[in-house]
Amino acid sequence: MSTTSRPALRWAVPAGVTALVLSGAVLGPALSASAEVELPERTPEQLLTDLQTADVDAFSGTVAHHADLGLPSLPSGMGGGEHSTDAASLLDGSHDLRVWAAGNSARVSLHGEMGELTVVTDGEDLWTWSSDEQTATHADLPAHDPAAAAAAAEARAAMPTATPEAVTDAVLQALDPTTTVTSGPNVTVAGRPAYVLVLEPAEPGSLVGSVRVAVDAGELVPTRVQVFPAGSSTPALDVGFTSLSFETPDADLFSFTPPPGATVEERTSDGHGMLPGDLPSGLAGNADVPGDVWSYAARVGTGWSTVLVGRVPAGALAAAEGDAAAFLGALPRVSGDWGSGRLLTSRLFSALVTDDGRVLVGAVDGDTLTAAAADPAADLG
Amino acid sequence: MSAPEATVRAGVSTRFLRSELWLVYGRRRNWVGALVLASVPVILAVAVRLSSSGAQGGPGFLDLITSNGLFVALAALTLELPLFLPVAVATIAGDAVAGEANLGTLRYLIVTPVDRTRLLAVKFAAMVVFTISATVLVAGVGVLLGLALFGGGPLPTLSGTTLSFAEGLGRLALICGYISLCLVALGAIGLFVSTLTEQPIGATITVLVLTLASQIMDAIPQLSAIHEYLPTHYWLAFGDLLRDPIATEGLRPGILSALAYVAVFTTAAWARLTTRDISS
Repeated sequence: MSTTSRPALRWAVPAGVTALVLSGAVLGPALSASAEVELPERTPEQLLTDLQTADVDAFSGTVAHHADLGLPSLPSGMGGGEHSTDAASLLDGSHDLRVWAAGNSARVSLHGEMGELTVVTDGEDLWTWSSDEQTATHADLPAHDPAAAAAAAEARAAMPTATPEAVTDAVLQALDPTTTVTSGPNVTVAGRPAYVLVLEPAEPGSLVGSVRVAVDAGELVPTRVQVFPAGSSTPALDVGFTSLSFETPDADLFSFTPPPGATVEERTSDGHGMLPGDLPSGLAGNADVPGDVWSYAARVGTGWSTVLVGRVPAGALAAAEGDAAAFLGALPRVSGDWGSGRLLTSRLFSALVTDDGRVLVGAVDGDTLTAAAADPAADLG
Repeated sequence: MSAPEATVRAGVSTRFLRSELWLVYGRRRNWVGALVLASVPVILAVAVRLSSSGAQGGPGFLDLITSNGLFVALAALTLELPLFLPVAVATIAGDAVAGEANLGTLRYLIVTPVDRTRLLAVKFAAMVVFTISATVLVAGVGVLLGLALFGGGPLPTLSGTTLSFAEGLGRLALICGYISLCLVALGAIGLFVSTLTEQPIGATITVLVLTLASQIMDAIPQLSAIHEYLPTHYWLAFGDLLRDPIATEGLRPGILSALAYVAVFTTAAWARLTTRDISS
């Protein structure tokens, strides 16, 4: 028996298998990522128009969400970690989301290890489900009021018809003084070829270096967004499909019945600003909205370096306790002519909470932010 | 090779496997091990049943046990996956070759007309059978006791939907399959280590240390670059089988990773066993 005559040759088998496995695991993705994608030329203007005209009614897929904002580590219970099923956990680390959409119906699931956070709507009801808490919340969507729908249709009809090209022009003009729009090398997203739009601040000063939007070459919808900090080649935020299908998902996916034994909470639309119907008023920057925690009252600077200034509801800072207080207390203290406060810095944005109850947020570094705090415009009196 | 000769060899092969299985399942030590594995679902189910307040919180699926008996099996598997099941597999795999060498029986196996490759194949097959039976034992005891104490019915998924009881059992079977595959990958590493030494305990401990080290490294975020190559990284992805519909993002790489480990370490064990001098 020649078992021991050529020992080295036999070891070549596991060595070969190891090499094969490693090359499959390491080189495979690298090769497919660097492969060039040939597509007919399209200008950035055409791509922006494409985004307006895209007509996709239904899709399903998996989204990989990767955030590397460089935020200070969050205390436990406030998200963080790789597999937490808390919406706040999206601020840091990698997560998988599965999405299904068809018309008015949609379902989004955030996957955690042994847990899931799901939001389901069939156009009439909105359900959220947390498997960690074994809790479902339910709300009726106000949009289903026929009178309101008719009024909205009437309002739309009264508006001058905007062609996609006109909208694109308007968008470009709004972007023009502050942003340069170019196209980047084509990429492959979720196995599909895609164009790349690159938005860059025209002037330095912002922490944001560039925003890259991949536009699917077939269906002309955005399939991936990456935000790169200035001077960095690793994105701080990277959200893109890893699988994508444009077939209409099964209608069963959009109905939800809470499992037996789960806690069910009812939300009414006049409660907190949680429902889509309430969002416009919550986002309008109107300081009078009751219960609105954050609304901005002033802006300092222009373009990408704009700093938004707002006011924390009186007493909220003093009343902050538990995780929020611990988190705030862990931030470095800064002070200047404008007073003193706590500064949060990250790779993409900074935030300053002053002791007199102002909040400043912007895609700028900490020095710019404290300078903005001293600006007369930011003095909310 | 003529036809009759081939039949003889095939006959020898199943007899060899049967005798190997007899060796594994006939050992009193392994029976005690099986008892320990089976005790976890029993303890879980009885403890939750006796506590009047019902389970609140707790690891894995502990808090769901009262709603459906199938969760006894799932909670037991989740609890046993980090240590108990790896101990069982590491013991069998570590003993496979080194145990024979330690008892001085390996050379007799080699001297009788048994090809070393076939010897390894039989050892591997016995390890696979044992791994599956260990997983199914935990799940089976959990299901029987869970149904007796808490009843069956539709199974709630992580996605908040419910599956019929039959579908739930099917998902549990898939989970047993996935966990078995992960553990077989560990067993393949154990088989390789077992060919390196004549001390079965040494091989078993090596595999256990590797398992624990892998789990510790998997918990250190600074090492995230190597996480996906760790043998234990995808173990808990079996939770994806409890979603509705089943998610494959974690399962597919988990299956590939396990198959890769099996391929690398069984061929390494083969290279080692067929080239080494066997004197004991």
